[in-house]
Amino acid sequence: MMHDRKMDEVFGRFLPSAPPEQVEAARWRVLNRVRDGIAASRETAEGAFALNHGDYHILLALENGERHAYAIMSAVAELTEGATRFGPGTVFTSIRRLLTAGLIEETEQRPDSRINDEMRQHYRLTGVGQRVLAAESERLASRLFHVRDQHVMRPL
Amino acid sequence: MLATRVFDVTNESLEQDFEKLFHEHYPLIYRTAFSVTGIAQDAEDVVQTIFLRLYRRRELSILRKNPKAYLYRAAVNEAVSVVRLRRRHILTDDMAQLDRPVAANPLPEASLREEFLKAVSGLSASAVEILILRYEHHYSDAEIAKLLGTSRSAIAVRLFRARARLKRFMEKKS
Repeated sequence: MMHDRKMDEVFGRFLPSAPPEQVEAARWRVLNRVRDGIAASRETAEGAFALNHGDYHILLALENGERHAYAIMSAVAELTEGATRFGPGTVFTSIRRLLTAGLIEETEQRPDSRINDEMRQHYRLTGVGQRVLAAESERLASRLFHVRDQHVMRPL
Repeated sequence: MLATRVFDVTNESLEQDFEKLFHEHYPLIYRTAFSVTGIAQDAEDVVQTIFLRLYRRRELSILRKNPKAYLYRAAVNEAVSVVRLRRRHILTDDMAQLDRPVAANPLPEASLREEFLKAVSGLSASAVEILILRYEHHYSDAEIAKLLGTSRSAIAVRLFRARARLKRFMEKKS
C-alpha cells in the first residue's frame, strides 16, 4: 500500500492536468478545425468520385436511355473511340458502385422474361445521376477551357 | 455545384450525429491528450486528428456500440505517438545545439516533470490507457474495467504492472 500511495503522489505532482477553463476554451476552436477538415475531405471524396473516368462514361452511355451491361460496354468503347474499355467484371463493379450511390437504377423491363441473367438487366439514370452527370460534364468542360488558356495542348 | 448539394442532404443527419458525439466526449478526450502530451497545442491536434479520422472512416455505426472506449483508446494512441515523435525531433534539435553554452542548472521541478512525461510515453499504450483513467480521470477499477471491456481483477493486475514499470523506468533514469 505504501508503494501505491507514493505513486499517487508522483502522479499528483507530475501528471499534467488540464483545468476546465482550458478544456472549454479549446472546444469550439477544435470543433471548427474538425469541420473544416470534413468540408475539405468531402470535396476530395466527391472530386474522386466525379473524376472516376469509367463511372463517368457509364453515366454518359445511359444519357440516351436505358441499356443493359453489354450495351453499356459497347457504348463506352464507341464514345471513347476504344480508349476506355470495360470487361464484364469491371463493368459490374462500376454498375454496383453507381447503384449504391443512387446515380443509376435497375429497370423492371426485361426483353425476355425467361432469360434471367445479369447481362440482360437494364439500367437507367436517376434524377440525381442526371444532375451529377451534368455537373461533372460542366466541370470537365471548364477544365478544358482552362487548359486551353494555358496553352499546354495543341490547338484543336 | 449541383452535385455537392445533392450529397449534402444525405449527409446532414450523419453530421448531426457526429457533432453530438464530439460534444459528448470532447472533455474526456482533450484532458486525456493533455495529460499525455503536456502541451495544449498538441492536445488540440490530437483531438482534431482522431475525430477527423473517425469521420473519414465512416465508422459511426461501429461506434454506436461503445464510442467512449473507441475514442479514448484512439486519443491515448495518438497522444503517445505525438510525444514519441516530438522526442525524436527534440533529440535532433539538441544535436544542433551541442556547441551552444548550456544553462548551468535546469529547474529541477521542470526537468522532473519532463522525465515523468518521457517515462509515461515510453510505456505501452495499454498501460498508459489505464494510468490516465486512474490518475487523471479518477476512475475506480470497476469503472475502468467497464470502459475497457475486461474484468476488475484483470484491471487490478494491469494497473499494478503499469505502475511497477513506470517506477522502474524512472528509477533507472535518476
